[in-house]
Amino acid sequence: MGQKKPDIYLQQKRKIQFKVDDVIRVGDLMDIVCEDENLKRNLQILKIYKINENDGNRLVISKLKVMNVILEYIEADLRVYGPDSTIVEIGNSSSTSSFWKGVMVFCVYVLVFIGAAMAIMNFHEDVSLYKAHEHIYKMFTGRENARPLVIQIPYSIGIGVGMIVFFNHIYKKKINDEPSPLELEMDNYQTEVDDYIRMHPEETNQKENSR
Amino acid sequence: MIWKSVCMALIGFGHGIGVGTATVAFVVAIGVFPRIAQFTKTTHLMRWYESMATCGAVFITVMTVLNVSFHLPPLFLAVWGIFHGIFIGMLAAALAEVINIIPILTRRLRMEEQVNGILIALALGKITGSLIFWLVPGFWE
Repeated sequence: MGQKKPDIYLQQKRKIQFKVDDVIRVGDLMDIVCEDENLKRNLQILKIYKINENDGNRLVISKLKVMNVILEYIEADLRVYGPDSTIVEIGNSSSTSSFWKGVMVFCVYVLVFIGAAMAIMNFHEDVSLYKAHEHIYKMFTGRENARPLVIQIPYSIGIGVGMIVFFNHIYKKKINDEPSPLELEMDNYQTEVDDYIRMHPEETNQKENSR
Repeated sequence: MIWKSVCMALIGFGHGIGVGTATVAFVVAIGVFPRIAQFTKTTHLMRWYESMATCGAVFITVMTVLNVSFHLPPLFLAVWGIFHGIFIGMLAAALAEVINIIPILTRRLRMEEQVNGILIALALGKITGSLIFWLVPGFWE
């Protein structure tokens, strides 16, 4: 065989979503670049793994496993870029009913609502805010007022406005199109979880079975 | 006698430096100012914001010490109050964000689409709590 081995460039994907009984193919895990379009198409449909019910919520498929499959199919020079492994998230077909989901969402809303309300009360008590308001009232108007509602009611509404503005979430499209700090935070958290899964595949995926 | 005064002045000055730096450290750690500068697209004015914050702190301290009154109409305090509230709201939001509650809550309970609802519940909870605290007798005084 005097023929030159083909160069194949691969870019591994970070994360993909699948359902039970789906078959994962090379094309799902990798973006492929090579000279021969036919070869590319054949590579894309090479079978890596069929998801079964025992796989749980996720699988981690390493670079080496995919390279192995390709090299068994064709002798080639592989250049693989991207992360060392792909996380396959397996969607749950039997999710909880929408009724219970609704109940749970409602409970969370109540939890957050009451928690926020009590926290702000405790804060006011802790920092003796009423004294500060009384002081400020005296300073600016020159009169005593033990219940300076004119400052306290706008203040209360302002708290809500400030939180919404800070999270910049609800009217995001109108104010500006940058990601809100919350979106960044959630993305960071997700990335950390993914990195953890990559570093400890044995804890989340004990059944690294044969193809 | 004069030495006593000098000593007291030194102690007061040192106390002031301590409290001032602590305030700045807190505000920096919480990260409210960069956030305000970012969404108003005025990061280049950051220095002015810092100066204004310093002026505010010094102004109120001096006025409290001198025990001044300005004899302004009470309505002025409504403006003061709303700005005060917005700032506290941002502080609370930044604090909630720093300790990472919402990302973990939404992920664990798989409510990623309901984040807006959670935020609104959070903000309404703060408003309600605050109003109850001020309007219902017995919480203070």
